[in-house]
Amino acid sequence: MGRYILRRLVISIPVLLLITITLFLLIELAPGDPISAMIDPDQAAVMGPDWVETQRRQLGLDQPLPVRYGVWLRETVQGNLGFSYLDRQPVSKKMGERLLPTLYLMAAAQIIALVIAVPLGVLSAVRQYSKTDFFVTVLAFIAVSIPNFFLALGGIYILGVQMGLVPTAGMGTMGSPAAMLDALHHLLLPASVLGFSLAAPLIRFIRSSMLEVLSQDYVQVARAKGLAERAVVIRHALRNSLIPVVTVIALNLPNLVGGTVIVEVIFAWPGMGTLVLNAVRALDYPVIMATNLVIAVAILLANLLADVMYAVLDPRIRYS
Amino acid sequence: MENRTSLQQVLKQLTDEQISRRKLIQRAGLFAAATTSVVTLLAACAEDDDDVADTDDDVAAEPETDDTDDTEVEETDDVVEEEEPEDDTEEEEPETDDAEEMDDAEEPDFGEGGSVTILWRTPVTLNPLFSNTGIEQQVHRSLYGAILKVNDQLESEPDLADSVDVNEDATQYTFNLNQNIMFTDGEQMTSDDVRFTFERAINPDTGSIWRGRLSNIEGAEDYDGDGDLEGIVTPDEYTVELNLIEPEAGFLNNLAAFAGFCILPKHIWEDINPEDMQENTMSMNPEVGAGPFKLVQYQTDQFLEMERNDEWFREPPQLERIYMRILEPSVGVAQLETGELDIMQLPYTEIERTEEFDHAEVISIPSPAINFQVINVGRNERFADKRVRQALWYALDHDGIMNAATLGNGTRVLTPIFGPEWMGEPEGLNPYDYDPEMARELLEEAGWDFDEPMEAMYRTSDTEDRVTIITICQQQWTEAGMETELTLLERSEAGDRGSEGDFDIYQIGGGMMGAEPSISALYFTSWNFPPDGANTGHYQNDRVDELYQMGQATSDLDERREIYTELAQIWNDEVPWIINHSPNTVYGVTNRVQGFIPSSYVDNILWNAEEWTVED
Repeated sequence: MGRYILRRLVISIPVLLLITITLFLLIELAPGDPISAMIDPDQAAVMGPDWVETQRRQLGLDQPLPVRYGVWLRETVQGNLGFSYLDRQPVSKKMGERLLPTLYLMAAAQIIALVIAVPLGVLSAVRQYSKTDFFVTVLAFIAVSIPNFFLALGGIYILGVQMGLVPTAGMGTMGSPAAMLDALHHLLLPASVLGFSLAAPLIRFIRSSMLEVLSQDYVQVARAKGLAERAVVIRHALRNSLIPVVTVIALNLPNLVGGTVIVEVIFAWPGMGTLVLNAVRALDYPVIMATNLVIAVAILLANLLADVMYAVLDPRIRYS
Repeated sequence: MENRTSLQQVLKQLTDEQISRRKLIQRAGLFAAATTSVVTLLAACAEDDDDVADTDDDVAAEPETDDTDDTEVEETDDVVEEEEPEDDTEEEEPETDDAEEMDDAEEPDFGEGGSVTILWRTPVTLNPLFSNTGIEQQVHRSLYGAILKVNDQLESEPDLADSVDVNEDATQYTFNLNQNIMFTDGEQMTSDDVRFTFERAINPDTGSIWRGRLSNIEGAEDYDGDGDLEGIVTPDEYTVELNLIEPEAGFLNNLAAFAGFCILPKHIWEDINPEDMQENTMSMNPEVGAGPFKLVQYQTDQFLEMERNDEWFREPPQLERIYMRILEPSVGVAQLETGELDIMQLPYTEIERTEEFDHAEVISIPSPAINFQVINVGRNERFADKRVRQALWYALDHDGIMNAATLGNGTRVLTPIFGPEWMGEPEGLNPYDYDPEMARELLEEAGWDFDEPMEAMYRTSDTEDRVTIITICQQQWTEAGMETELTLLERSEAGDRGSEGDFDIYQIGGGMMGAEPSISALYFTSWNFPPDGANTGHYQNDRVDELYQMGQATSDLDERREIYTELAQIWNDEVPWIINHSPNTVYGVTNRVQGFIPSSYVDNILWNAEEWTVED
């Protein structure tokens, strides 16, 4: 097992390199350049042509592509992610400010999703083709089909504006010092909106996984030996049906650092999604590269984790 | 820490095969729950830390005030209960208590003046030398003070300078600084600070967006940061003379764009190299300024908080603090409805809904901006004949377009010269009323090739109303025989094609041409071809060049009006651009804000914030 993990980690190094090279080329191929993205046509002219030259020189954009990539790689390996083209602030600082809020929002959403999905998925599998099953299935389809922003705006309007139950945006009440309860209160709506949409596919997944397990022989045996249905479902069936679900959740982990653009923007949540979006709009290479690198690493690790978890949880699987 | 040890223990037990799978799952679940609660706590604590740090840094920072509805916070308890699963782990409780104690210790002290919350957008920088959007610059003016500020009609008004004298041929501007200006750290502001800021702005190493605008100051072109700039003379501590190479009657407007030229404290910035200024932390967290307000904190992507500067050299503001809130406009309207937000620029589509609020009103006023399409006059032979360009204008139903795009919140404008008050709307202009027949006739006369379509490009960054405009234009041009294809481009690509002259029609919009007639010189004079200027259509007319120069050469307003009227008549006949209309600026403002004077230029909301009060 240890060797397997080591081998996977070693393989991910060339994979990461390839990802960064591809990214660098892709950004380069995108039309326009960071300088012209930075300035409004209205203002471009007022600044004069030598402004553009100065910017280009200061940002190192006058260097050829391989040199720029080499410099980027050298600095990144040493832990220096560079400076944003847009505001010249260190990329690590910009990301640092947003990683925690994203993690906080996405983790809460993931938990809400699980809390919704596990009982509903199990329930609809146990009572297959019943009214409950039908209801849960319809609910899951609705949750999958409603776009995030619609749910978010609807939630803001009904719960925030009409009923005044939750704050409409932000991470905390402006002007009051940060407090636990206030932070949770602000988290409630965005996390629920996200959790609701994340729950839908999970419900479907748990339902089918559970159905498969329920038809297994050992479940029949458990029933035959006279165990209460409740015990059969919870102790024998649920545990085993959650094994594939763990993989799905592990593969969801990169979202924890990747964030989600639309919900973040609507709720004025200072997260990674917004950072990435703004960076792409401004062709802010260092930020695009750094955020993608972090997300790529997270995906590779999450995949590894999923595989390892699978082996740990299911004794029938062995890696050598 | 606790978590780490438990994780290590689990791993150790696992490797030693002392732990069953079932146990592992249980512990993993517990670990996940614990991690989440720790993350949650960290987030909360991180915010706490920030607050404390801010209070330490800010000179004479006042205790935090809380103006937002307390009732709302009180309601939290029962709502949060439902979220229990997340903070169910035991080890978290003591820390929660800590957080709450901290809360008590920092019990907000209610300030007297109250606060106002304004819709904002994520700023790129809080250093005025590097900002190129008005929406940021108005905040810079409030924090640093500008040499002159800009009022609601975009005229210069005293700010740091009490007055300014202009000589007759508009080549020398003398600013008389107020003699009692103190920076927030107690240092006095003198002409030295003004000189320093101008020199840094002009120094090419700084990379300031102001360099181009100030290139008319004597010696600016060759200035490299060594010694004094010759065009700036400081005869005493409170007088600054700027000497210009060419006459420039519109210089003050130039200097005032968009909220005013802000002055940096020399004693804070002089030790920082010009090329390091933008990346310095003070560019995001300015600590010392001389404006009516001072920065309390900027919370990334959330809000910026300013508080009254009690030491301000004029009558200090009544208002205790201002929050600049970063929100989507649609959420902004929701917050306007709940009263969380006080002032915002309203999208036209939200006007009707906002008009129904009891506690807020809608203000719609003419703006200095225009919506227009650039025609590629100089680099595309199809549009070289002015009859073709006139036909483009005749083919459009401008009132219809205006109503569709702005829901009636606009004014027809026939040239880029339509203000300010002393200028007024020039006379003797062709209104180009909707006449598709005429358009077709003109096209036939000019030998237009009806079989070859033309391309109109617009940008992904265009607002909804501008998309409406170009879509209707496409339809009406096609009806008049000029088949039109629309191309949607990323802003930077459109910008590149624009400056290379590789386009037919290019939809843009905005600007503040109504503020001062000389501003439009940038778009129609031969010395402003890209990349040196913004004449993307490569329009050239010797008389137009001459008139723009004459207009700058005198500060006599009657003379200037005559010059610009002739210019407008030529422009109106030659049609280098299609101008659709001037869209209104629309604000939604809650009634509790008193003294708010809506600025015609949308990004200058804060111009007289020091005179506002609130009535609760």
